[in-house]
Amino acid sequence: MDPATLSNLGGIELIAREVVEGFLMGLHRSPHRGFSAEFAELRAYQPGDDLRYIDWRMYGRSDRYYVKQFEEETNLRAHILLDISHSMGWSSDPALPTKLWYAQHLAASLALILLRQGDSVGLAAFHDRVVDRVHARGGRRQWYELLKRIQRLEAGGKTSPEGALREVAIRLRRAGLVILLSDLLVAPEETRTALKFLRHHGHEVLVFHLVDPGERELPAASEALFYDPETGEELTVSVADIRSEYREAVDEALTEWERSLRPQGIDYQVVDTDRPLSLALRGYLRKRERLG
Amino acid sequence: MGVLQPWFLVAGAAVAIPLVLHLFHRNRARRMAFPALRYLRRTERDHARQIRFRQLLLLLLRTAILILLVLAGARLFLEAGGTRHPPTALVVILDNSASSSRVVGEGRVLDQLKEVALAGLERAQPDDRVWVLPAGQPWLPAVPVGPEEARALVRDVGPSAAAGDLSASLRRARELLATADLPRKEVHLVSDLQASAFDDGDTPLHTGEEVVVWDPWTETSPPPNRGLTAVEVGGGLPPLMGQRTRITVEARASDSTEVPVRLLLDERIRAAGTVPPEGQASLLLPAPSSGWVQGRVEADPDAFRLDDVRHFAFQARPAPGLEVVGNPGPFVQEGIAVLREAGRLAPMGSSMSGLTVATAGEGLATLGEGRATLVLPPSDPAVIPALNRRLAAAGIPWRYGALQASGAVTLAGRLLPEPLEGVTASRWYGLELEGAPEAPPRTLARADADPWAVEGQTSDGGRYLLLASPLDPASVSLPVSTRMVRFLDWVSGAWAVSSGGPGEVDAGRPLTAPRQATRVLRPDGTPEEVDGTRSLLSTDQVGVYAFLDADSAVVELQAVNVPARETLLASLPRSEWSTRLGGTATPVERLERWPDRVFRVRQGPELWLPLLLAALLLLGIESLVAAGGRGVRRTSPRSPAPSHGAS
Repeated sequence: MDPATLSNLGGIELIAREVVEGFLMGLHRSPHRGFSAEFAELRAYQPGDDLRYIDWRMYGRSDRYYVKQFEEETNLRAHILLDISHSMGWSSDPALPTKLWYAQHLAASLALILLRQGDSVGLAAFHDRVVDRVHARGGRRQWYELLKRIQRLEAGGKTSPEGALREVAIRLRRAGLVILLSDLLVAPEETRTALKFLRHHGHEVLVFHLVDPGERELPAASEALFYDPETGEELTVSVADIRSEYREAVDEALTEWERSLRPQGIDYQVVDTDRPLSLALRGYLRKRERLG
Repeated sequence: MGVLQPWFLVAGAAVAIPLVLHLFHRNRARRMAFPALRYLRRTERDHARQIRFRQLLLLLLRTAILILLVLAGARLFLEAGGTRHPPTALVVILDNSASSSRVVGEGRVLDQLKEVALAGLERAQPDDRVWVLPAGQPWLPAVPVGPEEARALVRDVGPSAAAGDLSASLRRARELLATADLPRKEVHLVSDLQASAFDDGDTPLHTGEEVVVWDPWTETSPPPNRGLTAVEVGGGLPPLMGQRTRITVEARASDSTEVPVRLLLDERIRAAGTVPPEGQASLLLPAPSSGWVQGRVEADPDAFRLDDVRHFAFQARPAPGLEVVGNPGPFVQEGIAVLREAGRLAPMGSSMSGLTVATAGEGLATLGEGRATLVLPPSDPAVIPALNRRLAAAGIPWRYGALQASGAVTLAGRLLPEPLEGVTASRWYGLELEGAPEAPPRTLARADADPWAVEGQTSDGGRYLLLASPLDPASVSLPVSTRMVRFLDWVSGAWAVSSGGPGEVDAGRPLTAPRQATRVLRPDGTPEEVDGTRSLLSTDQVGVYAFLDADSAVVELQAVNVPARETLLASLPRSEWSTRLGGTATPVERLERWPDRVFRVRQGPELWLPLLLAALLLLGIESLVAAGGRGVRRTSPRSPAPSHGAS
């Protein structure tokens, strides 16, 4: 279903479930593949260890306390970085959802898939700083926590993801999957540097570049005074005269993003906000399959 | 090139629309939020030159499209290669003045001129407006007509004895053309181009106004001509009853030969003589009996017949009586003495009609029916109040006012008596009309817009003539000129006793009908009613015009002759065309060339279709260029290279 139809369905939970279920059904694959906690080793008990994990059999055999060590309960620690800058709250058409709406629902859907797969999911919402953060955890409760936090998010502030990305990179001690949802109307060089910084810290990085159709195609006006709601900057443009050049400029900008990120091992996907969410999820799936 | 709908060119102002939009529209652009401003900046930065070039190209294309559409709407056409011409306002000046009646070869000049005019009118089209101006009949009204009526008018034009004032005709043509709103304006000057027909005034036409001139004359030498230029009966004083007098004849000959002349009275030769070139001769006139006398002086006929005869008419009458009251000054007294000595004045008898010279109003008491009084103001302004009281007592509505002095002012006026022509006044009393007289007084002469000589009639039938200046040299030049005697003779005779006077009038000048006249017999015997203006304008025949009263009795005879300048047949040299004609003059020497030279702006093929096609072509190009800016919407606009991310 396209986003305009989805937005009429109901709350974010229902929509995310609908998207994910539909998506997974389409894949004909079990959403529970690899969902298990595997025993790894025993170690000597130390004060403070959870008593539930004491291996009583070993205690019976050796009269010593051992604690059962498991592999990580989830396959992956995923961190969704959600851009909530002012520009994300824009839509070129009242019938279309805003980029933030699309990002929120994409984040919720991704989180649902990740959690169903046994991964842990965290969230960081930012504009020029991190404004909200949910630590990565697994389980159903995490899903509801994430939904609650995602729903509260509102667009505002200037976009400056490089700071937020560095902050996230520093806080995440264990390498994982970082999913950036942003319109990338940012300073490109600084942002690329920050993404490389994440990559340098061992994180897999997946960038969803949200693009409103109105950003690809200029509106039907001969002359217009455009202003950036984020910065207030204004620019008078003869739309009819630069329409094709503008389209080329957008394509070039998107191509530049891909060209600069792919060599760094950063996956990049353009997501048009008038296209179904499942297309974006496919991008995630490919990434997830590669990660194993 | 020319245009058929010039008013449509006003729409050319629409060319300003793309310019205005290009220059000022940005200020009224719609304001809209657009987060991807950086892409716009990038676009403008990367394609600034291309965008500017396209904008300029679009501006040029759109302007050119508008210009082409405007020109197509104005119905642009090529000026060459066609037989039609754009609607034209045309004035045909056909010179039918006296000189056009001369015979050249086997026909009259006028017939040749009419043939030329008709050849030009053959090229006229129904949507042309044509005025035909016969230069020898300037009093005729000018009415715009179609080519067919214009041709009929030209065919009907006959020779006039009047002089042709071609400068005045050209000025009139310009005024007529100014009233026309047709795309082309043209003047056809079909004339013998007599140099004397042009004046030295302002250039009649403006630069750029087209005038096609019939001019076969420059290549030929002026034709020989001998003509009479003036006749004067009695040296300006018409003979009295029973007096012998002489007639002075002036002649002009181009070949320096003497001109034989004959005097005819009642169709009988009464005298003969020869006039040396540029000279004069006197012919003895038999003593007339009482009444009007008319006759003519003839020269041997030549190719130009009209100036070979001059008519005259005068009234032979008994010497009028004259009474002087008061002291009119030595000049008046001397003039009266001369006239008395010549037998032109008689002492006033009690029952005799005549003139009373009332100095300072003395003698006005005798003014009554059948009496005429010349009122002379005093030199001393202190006497003016007494004069005004006498005027009031005599029932004369005029009052003398303050004495006014200035430089010498030439007397003027439509009714100016001939003896006062050229007279200057330097001091005069203001003449003010008091009340509203039953018979409106007439101003015969003015000095600097002030009445100088006024005449009228009192309620009891007495006639008066008031002069504003005393007849002394300090006030007016008349006393010290030869005209003084003629003036006194005119006042005592023509004015006081009869209403007409001798002398000749140039053909074309209006004749003033005497008061009693109700109709006039033209020289060819055609009667004409005297209208309210009491002026006869159409004096295009030479001869004697007879003004008749209601009983068909002759009131006055007026001799009308060809103006003397018409005897000069030399044509205007081309070197003077620019100053005497003005405008853009195109000379045509041969009849067969005339139709090709008139209506020079020929309407070739109209260009609206090619212009429209060119506009459509440019419109297509404009669309392509504009589409280059707008771009063709792609079927899959979401297809940037990285749409599916990394594999």
